[in-house]
Amino acid sequence: MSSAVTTRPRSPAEPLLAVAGLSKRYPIATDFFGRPTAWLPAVDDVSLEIRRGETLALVGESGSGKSTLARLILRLIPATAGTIRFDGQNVLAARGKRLLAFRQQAQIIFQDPFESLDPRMKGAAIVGEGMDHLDLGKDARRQRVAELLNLVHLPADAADRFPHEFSGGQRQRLSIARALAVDPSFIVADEPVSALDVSMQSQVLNLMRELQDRLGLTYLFISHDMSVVRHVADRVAVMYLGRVVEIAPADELFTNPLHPYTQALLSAVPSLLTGRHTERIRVTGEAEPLGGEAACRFANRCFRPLEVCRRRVPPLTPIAGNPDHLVACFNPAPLDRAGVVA
Amino acid sequence: MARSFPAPVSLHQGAADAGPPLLEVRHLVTEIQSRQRRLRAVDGVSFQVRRGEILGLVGESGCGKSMTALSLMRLLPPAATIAQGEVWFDGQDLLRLSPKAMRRIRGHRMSMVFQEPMTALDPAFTIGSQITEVIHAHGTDSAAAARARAAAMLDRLGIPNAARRLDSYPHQFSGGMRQRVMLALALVMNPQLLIADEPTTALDVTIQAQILDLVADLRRELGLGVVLITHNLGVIHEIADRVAVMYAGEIVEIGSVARIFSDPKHPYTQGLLRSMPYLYERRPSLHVIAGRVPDLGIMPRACRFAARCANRIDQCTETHPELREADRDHELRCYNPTPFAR
Ligand SMILES: Nc1ncnc2c1ncn2[C@@H]1O[C@H](COP(=O)(O)OP(=O)(O)OP(=O)(O)O)[C@@H](O)[C@H]1O
Ligand SMILES: Nc1ncnc2c1ncn2[C@@H]1O[C@H](COP(=O)(O)OP(=O)(O)O)[C@@H](O)[C@H]1O
Ligand code: SF4
Ligand code: SF4
Ligand SMILES: [Mg+2]
Ligand SMILES: [Mg+2]
Repeated sequence: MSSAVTTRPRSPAEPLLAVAGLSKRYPIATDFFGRPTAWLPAVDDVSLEIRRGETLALVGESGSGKSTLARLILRLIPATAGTIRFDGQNVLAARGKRLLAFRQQAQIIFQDPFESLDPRMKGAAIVGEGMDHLDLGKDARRQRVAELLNLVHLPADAADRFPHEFSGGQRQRLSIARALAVDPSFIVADEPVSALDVSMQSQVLNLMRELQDRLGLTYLFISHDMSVVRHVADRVAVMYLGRVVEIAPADELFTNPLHPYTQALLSAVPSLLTGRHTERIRVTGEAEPLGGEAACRFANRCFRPLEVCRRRVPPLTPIAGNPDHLVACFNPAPLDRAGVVA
Repeated sequence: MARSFPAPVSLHQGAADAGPPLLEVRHLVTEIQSRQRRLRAVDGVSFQVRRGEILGLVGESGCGKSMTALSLMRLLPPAATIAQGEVWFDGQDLLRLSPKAMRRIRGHRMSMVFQEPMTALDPAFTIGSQITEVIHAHGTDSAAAARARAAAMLDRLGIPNAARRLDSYPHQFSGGMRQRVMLALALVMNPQLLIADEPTTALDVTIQAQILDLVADLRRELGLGVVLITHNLGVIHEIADRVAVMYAGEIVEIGSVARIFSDPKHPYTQGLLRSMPYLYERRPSLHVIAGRVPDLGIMPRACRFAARCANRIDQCTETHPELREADRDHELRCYNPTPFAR
């Protein structure tokens, strides 16, 4: 355990992060006067909590709003509506010192280790980037960079190398070291292993878990790979066109998915990875991002819609007997063949 | 932990016919000119693809998969040249064709889907004009006939309202739709052979499944032969008939999917299979193949995998292992194979 990186006790009582009614819409058409006439609801009325020390995975197809939700939570983009509480504080109202403290506590790692690092900066400068305001002396800073490189299992000479001199997996470890430099408690990882091949993927996932255990980190882990999610998540939230359609503890979600979209997602995982043959649920049609009218956003592709689905938006509600498993569907039902051997 | 993989999906298998191979690659050597010397990125690769057969090509990044594919198409970057070998396609050695004759074959009788879908479409032109351009380059269709043909292809690929979507620009399509446009470009002339380099890596599972279904349909209906490059063994298991595992520029194991997944013999193949995160079990940590692919400039003389291999014996660091028959339709490059246990 390095001295510069402190361990935090987990206090399970209160969630680290609580999001309520969070929305972001983008104007996609304007009238003669430049006033928006049509909107794209990229994130639409999302409410969820992330507990201290856990990993909440966010899954969903491309364009479902995962990265937008992550950016909203980190206050990298302004919200259209909703509230965000982090460690009991109102994030959207934070200014000055409070906002700085939040920016230090909450860090992000991106998908592409090739694009997210400045090619002209050496390892030491990249890792030290966030430490500027910490007012460390030159030696203390060098010492801390060395500790961080060691923490992510990079060799000491990584400090003097440029990004192109690292493999993809090493670059991703470098961006993890950079995120950890300011001693955060919460890390958003947006597709951190999607660009990596299997063996580098294992290295990065193992490292993230090790760091979580050692430092008590809380993760929001975004991915479209269900078997990766299975490996890292304590709980899973499934997004479809801007809305959370199902959220449950990981074991529950993988063995008892109830939303038709979650079921389709799981049935599409190659059988090698699920360990058994499942009839693939073929959803047809395209996601319709605009939506607009009050209806279930999945209704045009759903394989068991009811009449009510085209008239009302299904609310996200706990299922009978399990307050931790929530689903937004008028016709939730277990589906034998979508289940996975636990 | 002794758990066997499910048998490959029978629906997809056995479409290959018994005639002469559609593609036969013999001892392909591709070199890259670096400052001081010529480095071998592909070193003596041989394989065959029959009509209606899907051959998977797997390996970590940097093993030479893309270089192999680009060599077959004769689309290598300027620094790279084919130093040796033959590529027999439909009765002729492609490596001896004039550039002009090669251009007539490319995009027409054999075509390729590239690794980066977003960069391969021109943002300034409509989807329709990009597809009809390919048709005009190879055929004599009238403008109206070419448009109809383009629309029919997009329709086939599951793009709703295909005729109208011809006038859309690439940015108006989602990632999955753009990937299908790339396939449309490759398939619109009804080629006999498709080379697809990581066609689904950036896609989420539902779209990946749609695209794989489509490729499987085409090979069944049209006898399309496919070389499918991916580091996702789940995808190979799902759709391919045969698989070639590449390491450091060489094929180290090749054979039928049924054989290689039930009885993988090369320590590298076994390592790749162990590194996959499986949906049916959550492990405390994922397997990592220690070390990394050797740099082209410092390629070991004997077994190239020796530095990372737990089965290493003296001979492995003394002489270079040859690819030898291990079983029926199963070849192996290894001195000390052991049975697989996950
Ligand atoms: N700046 C923007 N202006 C307009 N629309 C946007 C903007 N950013 C995102 N969107 C739209 O918002 C929706 C959600 O995008 P987002 O990037 O959050 O998706 P995602 O779930 O992260 O997808 P992926 O898996 O492809 O990364 C998409 O329809 C996207 O096109
Ligand atoms: N344009 C290029 N110039 C120099 N070296 C290259 C180029 N493209 C690939 N290489 C090298 O050739 C080897 C094989 O690369 P590649 O075929 O792209 O691997 P893969 O597709 O298996 O990831 C690697 O060592 C890579 O660094
Ligand atoms: S609410 Fe209706 S349309 Fe929507 S997912 Fe549930 S059953 Fe399908
Ligand atoms: S030849 Fe030797 S070192 Fe190479 S893979 Fe086989 S056992 Fe390992
Ligand atoms: Mg995203
Ligand atoms: Mg490649």
